[in-house]
Amino acid sequence: MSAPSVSSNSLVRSLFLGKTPAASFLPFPVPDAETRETTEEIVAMVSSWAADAIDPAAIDTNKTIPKEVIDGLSELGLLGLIVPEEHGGIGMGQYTYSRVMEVVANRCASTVTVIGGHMGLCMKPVLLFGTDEQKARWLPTFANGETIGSFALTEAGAGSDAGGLRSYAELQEDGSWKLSGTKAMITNASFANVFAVFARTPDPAFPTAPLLERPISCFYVRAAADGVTVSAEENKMGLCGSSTCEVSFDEVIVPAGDLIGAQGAGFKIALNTLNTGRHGLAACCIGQAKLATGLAFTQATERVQFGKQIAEFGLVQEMLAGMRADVYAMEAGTHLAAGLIDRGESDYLLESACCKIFATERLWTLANDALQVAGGMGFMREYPFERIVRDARINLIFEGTNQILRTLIAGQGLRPLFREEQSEHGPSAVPEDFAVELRAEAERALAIAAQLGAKTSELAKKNARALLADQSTQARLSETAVSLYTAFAVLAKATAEIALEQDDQNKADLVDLVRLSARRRLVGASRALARLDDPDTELEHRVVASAIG
Amino acid sequence: MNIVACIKRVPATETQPKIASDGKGMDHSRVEYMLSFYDEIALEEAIRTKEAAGGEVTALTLGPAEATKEIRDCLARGADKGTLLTDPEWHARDTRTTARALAAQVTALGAEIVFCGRQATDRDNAAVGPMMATYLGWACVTDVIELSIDGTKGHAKRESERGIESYTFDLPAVITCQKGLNEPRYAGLKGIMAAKKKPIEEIAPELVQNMTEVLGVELPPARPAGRIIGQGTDAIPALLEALRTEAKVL
Ligand SMILES: Cc1cc2nc3c(=O)[nH]c(=O)nc-3n(C[C@H](O)[C@H](O)[C@H](O)COP(=O)(O)OP(=O)(O)OC[C@H]3O[C@@H](n4cnc5c(N)ncnc54)[C@H](O)[C@@H]3O)c2cc1C
Repeated sequence: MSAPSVSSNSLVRSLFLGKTPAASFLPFPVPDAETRETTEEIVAMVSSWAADAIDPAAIDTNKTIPKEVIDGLSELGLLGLIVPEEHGGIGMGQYTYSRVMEVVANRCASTVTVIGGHMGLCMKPVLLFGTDEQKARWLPTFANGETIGSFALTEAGAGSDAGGLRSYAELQEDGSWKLSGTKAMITNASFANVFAVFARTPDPAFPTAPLLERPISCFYVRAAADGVTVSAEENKMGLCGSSTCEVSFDEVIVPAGDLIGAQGAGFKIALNTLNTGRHGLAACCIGQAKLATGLAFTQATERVQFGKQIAEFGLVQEMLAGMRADVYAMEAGTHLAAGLIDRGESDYLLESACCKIFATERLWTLANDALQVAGGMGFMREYPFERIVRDARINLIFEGTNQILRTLIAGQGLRPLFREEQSEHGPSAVPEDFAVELRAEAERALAIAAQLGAKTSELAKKNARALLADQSTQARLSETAVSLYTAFAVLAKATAEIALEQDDQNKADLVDLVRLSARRRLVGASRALARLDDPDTELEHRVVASAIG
Repeated sequence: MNIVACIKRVPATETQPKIASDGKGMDHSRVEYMLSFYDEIALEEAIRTKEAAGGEVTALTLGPAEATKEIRDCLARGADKGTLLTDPEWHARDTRTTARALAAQVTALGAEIVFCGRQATDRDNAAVGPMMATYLGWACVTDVIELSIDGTKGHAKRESERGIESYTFDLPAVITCQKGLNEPRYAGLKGIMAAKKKPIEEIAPELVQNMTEVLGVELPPARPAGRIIGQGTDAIPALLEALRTEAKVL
């Protein structure tokens, strides 16, 4: 019997097999002219509104987002950005969504979580899985901001392991549900009117199944319903203006019509929602990264030490250049995935995870570098540098910790090797597909991709069971894949931009920037691959074991 | 009421101006443009006037083909239609040439009231509005900070160096708008989408010759870098000394 054949348009999945299907990133996907124009108009409008209406320092200090800011989001119509026109929104896609998230985040990381929790997370279940009746009932009120939403998945005992949640809902005789449970660390909780709550429901085929074996379902629960209690605000390190609370549900009656999607489909709904949510989070990181970069450049050109602008010192330049190069790469990776989502690709799980890992970790480093450029002043609350660092930290944790996402990428990427599936991919890219100025980097990227494929297959052949149990090796494989995905995104985006650039000086500047950007990714990919041959896994395991006893 | 807002495409506030190679103007490559600040106030007042009295607002500009971007911005905020007097050399026209072309179009549109910004933020001439009124033979109040329209009569307050002046006038009239008259609205997503369906008419204007000729432009001399003398009260003597001996202002 021949092995089943699976076709994949996913670049990241293909990378584990040493393939680089050109159609998955070349030509770099860009929205059509009208979408681009509309997006620029929206971004310009939101940017000037945010500059006038949002005071990020006050929001951080006062630990709250003024009501006028949240009302402003509704009045501008922003909360209907991705809602279809027939339901009161303007029906834009993921590209426009990510650009808007970026520009709001560029002003205030706390404020953008309101949009993320509401439109990126809470609204998605009905948008993706709701019936026509549910869409007609919920989407218009989400779009005009009358209803602000919040997404309640995590519980004290179920964080990364969200599938281990214990909230449950029982079917009543009249068809309604009685829901109980407690959700932890819920964004938008203090002002949300509705929660997307994930809870276990009976399995009609196996009514006596123990709680943790019952399937999960998704409900929209009104904050005003009897039995809903929102606790006091958590006292947080960053995103201080955002609302994060525990929310408990005590025998709350949920009407039958507010079960969203099929009974038992809740976990799939949650994963699908987080899949695009993560991509939006990467876009937010671009906004904060641009903010930090701008501040660092201003500081580096204004501050004089030893009679020179500090921007003239090599070690300061290293940080500044890295910031510009990394911002370019964050945009390339995020906009590539947005293009794939908008053109209707269904498999972008790993691309979205790559964007989240790369953008959150780059922002974290970049924010620290910006603070370093500012010196002691950067440590002072009077200036924005330390706030950017504090706000950036959570990104590595929520919407799937970066560890969990690394195991996800490797687990998925390795699958075809264990199932002996024959995968089909379009033709791989060749160096000639890239701008001539970028040939050297393109050749190196293609060579590393081939190495990743060879290494993965060697490891799988040697000891498949060990590989599946070894998170460190998996993380290094996925690290290589994240770096390569981003490198190819950079090279593809730059190839398109270089072809369009008329001005010689601009073109030369662009080539310098993208070469640096691509080379930083390739260094990362090579390093992660090299560590596979020099594993510390055993040592690490014993060092922890001896301490735990 | 037939209402016109005259607006201008100007270099964005953050633009670092560079002199063109002929030394007679600005280098327009790599420049971002926007709606002039005071024109946002003019447009807002035009829209409020329409909201109060009914009618239609036309956003009118003399500008290059790309100025449809600024017109669309006006349509998104609530203007009903746009008219672009297409002129690739718009930035090189003197105020008289511009005012005549706009006045002719205001007549063609049958406007009853025209709103302009008090000045465009590129040249800061503050002259096109009153010149247009002169060509039209209409009443004109400049630097208006408060306005009410009652049928065919208007009441306006204007800010001058001497204080606040109050006027009454008959329509048709040209009003130039000063900061404080209103708080311009944001377009909003619905406005941006609605603007796509609103008409923009592009017209090749008849332009008279400039009566002034630019001989050259120069950037202002670079300001010397600031200096921090010290911190806290201990630094006061050194500061006083510097103000006395270096800056010679005391
Ligand atoms: C400000 C803020 C806002 C939030 N907003 C929301 C919200 O709106 N809705 C919502 O539902 N949740 C929200 N959360 C919760 C968030 O999603 C969780 O914190 C996150 O999923 C991690 O879960 P945890 O905190 O329980 O960490 P844990 O799961 O306990 O993880 C602790 C550490 O162990 C590691 N780890 C765990 N399992 C594995 C494994 N299998 N392999 C390797 N490493 C592992 C993790 O990577 C992490 O480093 C929010 C959290 C914060 C801090």
